Amino acid sequence: MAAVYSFAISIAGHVIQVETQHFRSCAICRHFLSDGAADIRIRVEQHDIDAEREAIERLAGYCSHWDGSLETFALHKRLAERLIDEDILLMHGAVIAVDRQAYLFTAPSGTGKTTHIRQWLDRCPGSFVVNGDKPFIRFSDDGSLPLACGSPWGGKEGMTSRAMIPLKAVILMERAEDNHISPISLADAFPVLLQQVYRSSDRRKMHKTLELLQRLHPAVSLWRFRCNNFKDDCFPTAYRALTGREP
Amino acid sequence: MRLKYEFEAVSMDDKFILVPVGDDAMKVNGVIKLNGPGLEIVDMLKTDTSEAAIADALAAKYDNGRSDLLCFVQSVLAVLRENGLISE
Repeated sequence: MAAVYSFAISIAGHVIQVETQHFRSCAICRHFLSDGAADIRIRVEQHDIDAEREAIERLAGYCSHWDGSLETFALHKRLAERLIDEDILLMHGAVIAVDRQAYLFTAPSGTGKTTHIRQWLDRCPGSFVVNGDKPFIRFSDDGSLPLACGSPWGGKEGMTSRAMIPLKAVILMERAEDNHISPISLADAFPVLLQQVYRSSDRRKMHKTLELLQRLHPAVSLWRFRCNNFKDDCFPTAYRALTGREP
Repeated sequence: MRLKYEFEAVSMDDKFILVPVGDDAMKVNGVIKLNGPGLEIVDMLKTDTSEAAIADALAAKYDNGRSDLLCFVQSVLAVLRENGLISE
């Protein structure tokens, strides 16, 4: 089937012309539509959709997604692949912006990232969610400052924005009985970061991804947060350590 | 024996982190941290080799006794085997 939907989206400082076969892809990108001149073009073909279905079938034994849904997965992957060439990473995590600084909480699904950033939203006036699930991370034009950027993939709650905010910290969350947060080295954080970043099967792109991950630190501080969202000291523990201020 | 998968070594602090790359990278869970001699062992495993051949190669380079080096080789190989990274 030929591509029937063509639209431009603005993500992480780039305007991307996207061609798809299903309206669903356009719909999930609706907050990122742009009328700017595209510098990147992505066309999602039927073979990309078929590859997504086969990948899910290999993992789960069956695939219940329809083509429109699979196309959004394929678009997400094509974008992540393409943007590595522009020094941009896709990371799994939830990003909250407070006082024009972004904090990226990353952990496997179900750990409590969204529950936690809701506490920040409730208790920090002016805070907002940059992205709730799959933010992009780009570097400032001089290459020195990592910026957290929204993407159309905002998680179950669809929490996202078009903002690009300086990334101050990446926090590796783990569920625990008690709340405790401490800084960690890049070497200790690296295995987790690697699990949470988009990883290409293309060796050159993977090499670039590893370089970009290493560039994050020390501009971005790294933390291990043993977290119990149901205890009262959860938000204050994180806020105090990450911002250096009392909540 | 040899490595089953391709890896890229990332140097960090005084360690090397072995990251799976290529088409089969997703079949490997996690990463392996090694010191310098450990990475040399991994490099040798890019082609078919044996415990003894690796220990001999290290003995030619380091002053440690060969039996100590063989123990070290066996300990690194045990970690790689545990993680299913070696084809015999």
